[in-house]
Amino acid sequence: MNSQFSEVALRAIAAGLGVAHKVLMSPADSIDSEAWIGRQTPSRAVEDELLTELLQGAGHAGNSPDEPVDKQAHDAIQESIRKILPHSLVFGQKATSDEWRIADQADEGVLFNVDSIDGVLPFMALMFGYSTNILGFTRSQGFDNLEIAAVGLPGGRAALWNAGLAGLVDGRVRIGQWDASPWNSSVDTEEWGVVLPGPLTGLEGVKKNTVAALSSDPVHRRQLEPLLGSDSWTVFTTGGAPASFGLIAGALEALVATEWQATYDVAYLPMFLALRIPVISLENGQPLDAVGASRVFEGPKRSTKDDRPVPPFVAARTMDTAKQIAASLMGKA
Amino acid sequence: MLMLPKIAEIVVEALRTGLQYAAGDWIGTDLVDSDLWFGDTVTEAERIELLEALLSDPGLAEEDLELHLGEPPLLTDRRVHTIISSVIRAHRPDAYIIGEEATTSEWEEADNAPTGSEIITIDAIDGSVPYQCLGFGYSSNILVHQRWRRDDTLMLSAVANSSGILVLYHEGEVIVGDVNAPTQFTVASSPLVDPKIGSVAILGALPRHRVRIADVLGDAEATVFTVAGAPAAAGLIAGSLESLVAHSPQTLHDAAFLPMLAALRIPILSETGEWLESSEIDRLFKRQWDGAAEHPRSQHPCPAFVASRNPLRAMRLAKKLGWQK
Repeated sequence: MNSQFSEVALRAIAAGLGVAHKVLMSPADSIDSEAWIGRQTPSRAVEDELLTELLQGAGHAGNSPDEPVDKQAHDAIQESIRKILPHSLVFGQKATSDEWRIADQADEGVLFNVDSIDGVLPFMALMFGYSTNILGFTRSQGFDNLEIAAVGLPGGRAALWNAGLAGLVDGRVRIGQWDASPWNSSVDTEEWGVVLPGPLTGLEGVKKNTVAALSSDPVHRRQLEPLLGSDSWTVFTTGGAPASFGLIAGALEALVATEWQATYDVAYLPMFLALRIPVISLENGQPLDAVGASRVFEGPKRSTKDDRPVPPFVAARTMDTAKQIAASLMGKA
Repeated sequence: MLMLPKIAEIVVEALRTGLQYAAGDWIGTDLVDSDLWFGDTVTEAERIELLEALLSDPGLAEEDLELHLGEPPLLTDRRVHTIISSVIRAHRPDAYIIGEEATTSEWEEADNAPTGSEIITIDAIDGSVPYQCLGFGYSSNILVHQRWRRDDTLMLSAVANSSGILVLYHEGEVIVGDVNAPTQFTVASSPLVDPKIGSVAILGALPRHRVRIADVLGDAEATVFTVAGAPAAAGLIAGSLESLVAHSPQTLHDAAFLPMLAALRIPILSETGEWLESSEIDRLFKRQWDGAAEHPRSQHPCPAFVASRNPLRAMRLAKKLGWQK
């Protein structure tokens, strides 16, 4: 079953990210740049239009709550999952209310919780810094067991967590390339990827004082002021699941989540726990232990819409770093 | 299906191969393990050829490292340079290849190239710090120049970011697509989607850069991504990014996307207050080997600039950067 969950997740990631790219590449009408001809001063009418846009945000097309590309990617993921597991239930960030309700009413079965594009803002604006997150679990007598957690990046990389025998911390974490071509979702999951040996703590291979935190918008920038204002931290303003790769397999030292998280947002947390990466809650300054994390992913039905069970947190390659950042963000530095 | 000129096909193949290698190397997969690295996209023979190119590569000498611009190069930087070079050389054996990770002898050979030669510039990994830390937010950039006497004229420029999104300029046209889906490229006559008002990509992850952009970071209406340059350029062309800021002078390979912005008539405001239109970009991208104050290897001919879909936004950002009173 482990292998089947892996295959489902990798194929679904390929399908979701493939659709996302296709939608993004579809040419659409746009007049903005044509309003400006080289060095010429814009006409009064064009200037007025640009000024309105500048001041009022007229014509704003980015980051709308109903970004259709999310939904298209979600549908592609759902279709991909059901090709292999036709009776599974798929819900998640872009699921309909009915899909959430059906998932929540089921007492038995295989379910997938999906965030089709985690990081819509960087997806639309930068075309990198986004991911597809998938959690797969089995439900028996209304009790959920996490089987797989997967995060896929555009360009062909994914990190997979497969359940072990002794709960979350016993899981196996693998990282590899699913296939660089989103249109070719051929995936051999038998011996896929490289198994990461845990624990992944200490500063070996780390670029010191680097932190990723979702902080591109003004509200989050204010929250991150202690880091952004410091003269020692390198701060990447894209965070979340895409940046979790940096802690798992890159040289990133720390990652900060500045707000409460839905389960699909933190599909990487089981990987952090398995690799013993310290996580500290920014609500109470306490470490997030395996028992606490288990309650997020396992136990009585985990399919309630709008549930955001994970507090803001900092994760780092050492407990000292996590504590230091937590203290500064909680005003205790 | 869009038919690309041969040189563009070669560049796309080189970028695809380079990015695949960079992604695989970041994960730490074994080069020889075909399942983990290239999958089914490269034949066994081609893989062996690339591997031989890597193994026989002399690497960068002390002298090269001293002349290297920006952050010290990663081992992967040179390896990706070598991979991209070997793909290009397989199709264009007579091309001269230079770039940020080229050796002194490669630069000397290019210096002596005869009229008519293709001079190909590679920036293997533009954005080494995000590459190393995050595994995304970098790009591979390629410029193709043609030698005429002692000057090189730009024929093509291309940038592919870590997601595989390609933007390519050739003879006044801008081509957009995914390097992994070359049958689905499209010609862009304007940016593909409307901008998200107030979104700006600006180099600012490092503390020393954040000091320079403090007023932009403090803008309560701006969405600020602390990444910029070529990796973010696709956002202006095919995404919803409104503005991109380079707050220091740029090398040609760093600014490989500028010809595309000019071709799409995206306003570009220089630090000195001039709007850079196509003819000025053409002039900047002519590489001069003689008579310049610096050797081409060290030149930063592109001034600091703000590119924005809204020229008024460009002026506002320039003011926040202290460029205009």
